[in-house]
Amino acid sequence: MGTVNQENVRNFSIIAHIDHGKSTLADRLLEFTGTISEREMEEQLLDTMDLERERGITIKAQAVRMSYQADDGEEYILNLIDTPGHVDFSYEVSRSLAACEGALLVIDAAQGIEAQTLANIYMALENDLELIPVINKIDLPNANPDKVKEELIDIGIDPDEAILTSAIEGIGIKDVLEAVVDRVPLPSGEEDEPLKALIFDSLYDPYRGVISYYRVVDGVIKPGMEIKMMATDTVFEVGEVGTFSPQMKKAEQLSTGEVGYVAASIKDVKNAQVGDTITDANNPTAKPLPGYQPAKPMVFCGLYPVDGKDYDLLRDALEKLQLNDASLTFEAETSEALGFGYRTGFLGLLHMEIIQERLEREYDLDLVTTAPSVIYKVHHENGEVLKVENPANMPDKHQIEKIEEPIVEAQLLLPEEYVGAAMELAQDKRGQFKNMEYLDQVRVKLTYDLPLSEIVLDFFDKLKSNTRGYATFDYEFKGYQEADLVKLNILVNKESVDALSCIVHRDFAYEIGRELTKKLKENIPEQMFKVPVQAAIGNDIIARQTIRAKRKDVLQKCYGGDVSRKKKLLKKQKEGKKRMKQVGSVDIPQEAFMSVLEID
Amino acid sequence: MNKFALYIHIPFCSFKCYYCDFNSVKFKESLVEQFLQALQQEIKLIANKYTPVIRSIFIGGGTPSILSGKQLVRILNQCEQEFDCQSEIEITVEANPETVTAQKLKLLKKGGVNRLSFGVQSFDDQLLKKLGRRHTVQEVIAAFNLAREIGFSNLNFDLMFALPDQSLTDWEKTLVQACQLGPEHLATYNLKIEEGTVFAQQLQQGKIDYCEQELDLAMYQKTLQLLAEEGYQQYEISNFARQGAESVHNQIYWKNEPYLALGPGAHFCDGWGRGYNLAEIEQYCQQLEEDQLPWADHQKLSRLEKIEETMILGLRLKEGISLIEFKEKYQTSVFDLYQKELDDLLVQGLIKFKADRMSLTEQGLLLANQVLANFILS
Repeated sequence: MGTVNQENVRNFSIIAHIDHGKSTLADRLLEFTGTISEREMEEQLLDTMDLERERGITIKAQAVRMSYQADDGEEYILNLIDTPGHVDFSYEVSRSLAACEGALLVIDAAQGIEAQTLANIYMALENDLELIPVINKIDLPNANPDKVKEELIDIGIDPDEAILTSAIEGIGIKDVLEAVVDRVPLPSGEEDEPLKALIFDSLYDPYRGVISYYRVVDGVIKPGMEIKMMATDTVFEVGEVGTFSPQMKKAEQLSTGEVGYVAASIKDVKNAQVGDTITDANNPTAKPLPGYQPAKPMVFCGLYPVDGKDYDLLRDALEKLQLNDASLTFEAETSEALGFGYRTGFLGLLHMEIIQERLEREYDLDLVTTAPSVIYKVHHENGEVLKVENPANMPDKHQIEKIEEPIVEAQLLLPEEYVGAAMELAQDKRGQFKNMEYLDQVRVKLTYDLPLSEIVLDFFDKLKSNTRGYATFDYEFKGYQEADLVKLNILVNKESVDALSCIVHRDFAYEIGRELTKKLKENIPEQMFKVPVQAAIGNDIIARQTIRAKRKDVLQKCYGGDVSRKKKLLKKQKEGKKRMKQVGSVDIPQEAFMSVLEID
Repeated sequence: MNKFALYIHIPFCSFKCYYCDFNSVKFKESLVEQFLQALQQEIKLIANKYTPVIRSIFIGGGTPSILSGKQLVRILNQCEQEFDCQSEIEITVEANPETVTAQKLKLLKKGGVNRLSFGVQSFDDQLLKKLGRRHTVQEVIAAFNLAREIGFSNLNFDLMFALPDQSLTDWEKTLVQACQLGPEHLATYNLKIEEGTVFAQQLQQGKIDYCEQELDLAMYQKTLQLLAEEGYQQYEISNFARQGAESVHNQIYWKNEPYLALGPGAHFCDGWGRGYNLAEIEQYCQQLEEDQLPWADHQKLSRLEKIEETMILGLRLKEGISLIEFKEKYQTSVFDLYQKELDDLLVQGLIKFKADRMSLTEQGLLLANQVLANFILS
């Protein structure tokens, strides 16, 4: 492959709400440009993980390079950078967008613009991207492109620029490609300047080490060259560079404006983090590209193997996942109740669920997960400020001067009629009302400051149910704020179970204590003896339930013909028991450790 | 080596009781002859395959006593002809009180039957009706007296508790009346509502309710206490007998010793593995007409499966398991196999060791499932 004419390169991404047809449109673009034949086409090529397909979301960024012969007769290189589709990954989205000059804004012709999309639109506009509105699914019987166009006006986009498509039917695909060529600005940047490339994703390949995806902003990158990662100040020798077609394809070099990958025997994704700048180690640029943020987990939970023997397996699995995911953190911790495990940090709740699910599915681990928690700043009376991410580690209440908790600014978009319900919920969750704004006649944007700890529990589920699924919700970290928080201890059979303790606002402590003990009573099966379940603040018991003893459990009848059947029952009983964690002399099922999430 | 107990399943009933999920069809004279011929064929095939020495015979059902005395005796005669039956073996026939006649009992007695097991269930006519039973308390008493007159000296009553709307007092009355008659053996079961039964349907419709655990427990404890006072010894979780009247046949099951089984859907354990017959009576007959054993399944048991079965069956017996016999049979000690489990169970007071035997404690008996689940290996 020879050198590429910078003027004929276009870098763009696709912004869309889940289900609005992003992946299908991407597939059609690949087909139309002959990047991939229909035969090779696996449905929704860009989402490669099973989980991504099942959940209909993209977790990792992906990139693909297409060649397109435009109507002007010129051959163009179009780099499509796919972005993760969830609020937990908004930083990754911002870096992907920063690697582009333009973006397709795909809107479902029947559903219109959704809140999550709005956040990405603002992000795109912040990154100075040229937005090309694409109204998709126009083949649907309830498609209403005119209404979508009105919505475009509301957010300041010229509706006349919108392209009408049906990705499923293959309508309007060429128009989209022509618009990318015509409207997306060609990449700026100087080939003669020292190398400056923006990493927008990194993944781990067991054979080649870390593979980083980047956009060359200035200069050239080629094999043999020594490169430096500016955030970590580490130097590597480039083994291979190339582009995505969509499989990796070796190239002699990548120059200004191009998108590709580099393999440089990097052992750890931490040395090639999203947002970092790659430069020439021997001729470095003076300043890295703006916007880099080290990955910062926001939500924490304890992960414990049900079977203590799996502890090493769990560590190996976490290490492997971390190779691909610099935002995943973990640290060994011990729980009196659960034994050895890891306090694991995630970007958000979805990220947490995905990791848990991958551990259980791909690594076949049986895990006990504690309820998610956030990082509290605890001001100790001795002047120290402790960061407490595990409620079990909260110091004694007499030693605490004050506790600060993380606050997020949350934006809720919803139809007018649900404003009351949403406000009530936000208030219940200790939200501070900030603003209310009508986006059009019927849609309202509410802004609240909310404690992150309330969100990590069940805010989103409740919001969905209180607004019959109409509300969407996005948040970003705002800062720390003092709050009157207490640690709620849970005692099972008179023993404090550290893994069940949680930090709650004093005003809600009694109610939560009552509800939590009730849920635990439901979730813990009868034992051979009576088991009291208590909630306490310090030494004060504030709620109590009693799990009654199992008094009789016997198959009264068992003769010749019954043996196999009865054995099956006993087997089931044994399996059930194996999936429980023995705490003291009480068997507690995995689910019970998440009981706090079930409180209404 | 080729010693077996023998179970024969008679798959006919005049009416299906509301709690019953056993394999049975409505009694039809025309079907009976076909069945008896098939059964005769099965006896021959089994004799050829195993050349067994028979240690006990149990004719169950269904309702075996729905057959005529002649028909039942015919089955026994064929067994005696084809099998090597040890002398003086226990031969039990299950009987429903309403099907008992003097003539039938006389024939059975003459035919070698020395034990009758009566499906009594309750001494409360109202409860009998709710169970779908077709007999009254009076008929129970009459059948019992008749059996005594004809000279049966080994009788069993099956009784049920934890029935819908049954009070502790109701159950106590049933026990007291049973003891007044004084059979040699009593088997007491709590009701378990099985899928596909009328009770399961009624449960779903909210017409009946499960018995509360506490009441079920109280009834069971009452049983233990009252029967002990009346001189019955508990020898298995649900079985009680006068000294020496323990059922030979059933103990073979619990000691995990081999037994053969004839009749549709009957289960057997031949020492090599477990198996069972085709349950559909037509299929069963057809297979035998073609000179084939009517087996639906026959699978080898691994060593570990045999061990776990020895444990979960043997511990049902009050005397428990002989550690020496276990070691001789499996060339390993229970302590090697179940060290942690045994430690835990001992601490919890659910099992005990005495001399060479390991058994359930009283508490362990009540929570037998919790204990037995620990011994599952496979």
